Amino acid sequence: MNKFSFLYLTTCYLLASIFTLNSHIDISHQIIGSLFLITLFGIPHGAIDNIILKSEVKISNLKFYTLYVSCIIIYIITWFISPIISFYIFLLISSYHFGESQLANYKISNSNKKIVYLLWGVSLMSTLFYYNEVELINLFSSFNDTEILNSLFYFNFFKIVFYVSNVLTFLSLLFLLLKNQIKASIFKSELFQLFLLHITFYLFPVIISFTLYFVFLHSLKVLSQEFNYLNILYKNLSVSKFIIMLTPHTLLSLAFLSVFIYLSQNNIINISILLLTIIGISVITLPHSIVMTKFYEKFK
Amino acid sequence: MLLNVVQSIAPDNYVAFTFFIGYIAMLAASVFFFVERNSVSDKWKMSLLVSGLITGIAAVHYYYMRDYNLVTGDSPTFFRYVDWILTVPLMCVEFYLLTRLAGATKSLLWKLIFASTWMLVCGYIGEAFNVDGTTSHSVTWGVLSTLGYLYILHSVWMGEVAGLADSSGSEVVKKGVRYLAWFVLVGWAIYPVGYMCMDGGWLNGIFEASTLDIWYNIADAINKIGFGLVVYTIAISESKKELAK
Repeated sequence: MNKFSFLYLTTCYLLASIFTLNSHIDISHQIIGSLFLITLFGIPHGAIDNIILKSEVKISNLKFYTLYVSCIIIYIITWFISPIISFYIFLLISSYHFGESQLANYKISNSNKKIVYLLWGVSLMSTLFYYNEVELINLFSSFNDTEILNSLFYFNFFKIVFYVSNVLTFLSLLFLLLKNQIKASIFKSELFQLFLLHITFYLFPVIISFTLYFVFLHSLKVLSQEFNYLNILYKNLSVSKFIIMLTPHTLLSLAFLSVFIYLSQNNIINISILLLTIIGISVITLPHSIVMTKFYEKFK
Repeated sequence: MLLNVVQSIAPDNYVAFTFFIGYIAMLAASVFFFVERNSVSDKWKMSLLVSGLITGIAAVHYYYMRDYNLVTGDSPTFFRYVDWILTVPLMCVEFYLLTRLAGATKSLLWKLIFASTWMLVCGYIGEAFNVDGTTSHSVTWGVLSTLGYLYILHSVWMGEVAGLADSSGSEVVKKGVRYLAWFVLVGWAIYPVGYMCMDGGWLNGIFEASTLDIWYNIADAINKIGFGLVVYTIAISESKKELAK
């Protein structure tokens, strides 16, 4: 168990006491709590993509921002052309990205790592959907433009994905153990973490479940990796300097977020707040995950 | 009176079944650890003594718990906490004994004992003294109790105990402390989970009250006997190494 799993477990125990006092936490309170944590840790973890990429590849600021923003614009266009395909692409990109950040620390061979990353991420996302099916269907059904996302639950296809991906993830970890690409202690830790994720995704509502994973097991871990990497690069980087590095793009993201929420809430743009959130997160995720893949290639 | 009760135990009374097994298994483990003290070098005898005391104390309490449950049909909360308040600090003493050679101080020992005692006293107040039956009472004391648990968890996984094990210079000690840390993380988790399963608890209804006793009995046996066996394995390996020198 590492410090992020420990924080995750501590938060779970704290939430258990909150849920004992009030087993039905209003969705608006869940959203407020989640947004607070995501603002504090989730958004910042992607806020230095420019610094990370420029430390590995010779690229000017202009070229970086042109490529980054172009990625975003192209993806926004695909959302307008086909929301459902864009949504599935988002799920796949996120899955790979989550799996990569989870397992990139380990010396997995190049021939195996991409498929293992994807499997891990797919098992994570499918587990979240599996244990929160009813809640997600209700959530997607609450707005006209997100109703179509319920196609994810048609024909119980996602249940098959859940069973298959979880079994394959377990088998792939076992394979890596047998091939000495991961140690026994790592194998046990990873299994425990998967077990913990299953338990929490089952017990807690979907927004809280996802926020727990995203903030404690993903964002904080990535922030730590980025800090350690930049600490070597810049020699004795302090935490306050690191926070200063994160601030500009974090504030920029929050500014855009606020603008779009305002536009949606006041019906200036005809997109529900939920779909806007999903689109917003997905279009940022694409360039961010490309940058992080580059980062992890050099990260050991 | 007990003989009459024993004669009427139904074959599917798994609670009674596990109480009987628990009592005898703990007793057998105590005998084993006490006898095996002769197989280890002097510096490991104390560790085996403590392992034997843990299972021995548990065996006596399980004897009483078994009787209490058979006669009343109730969960023996009182006896469980009496047992835990003695055996859990002793398990923490084991961490100190294992890392003593790597520099563990008495201060660490007292911190672990305090944390474990705190955990159990708060848990007992939350579970047994909820006179007005309010959820806030059990939640408050549950949270306080969990602080003690989290301190021990942190210490054995990434804090002082883990650091000492890593610097011990012995792979056996390092691995052994890691195994014991897994006991604390997974095995001891039954206790806060069980606490949350009581009336008014968040997980109430997930387990039936009677099956909870089964889980506690199984977990206690694994946690105490398993814990002792890991310590025994370390003691035997290290003793063999010393003999070989």
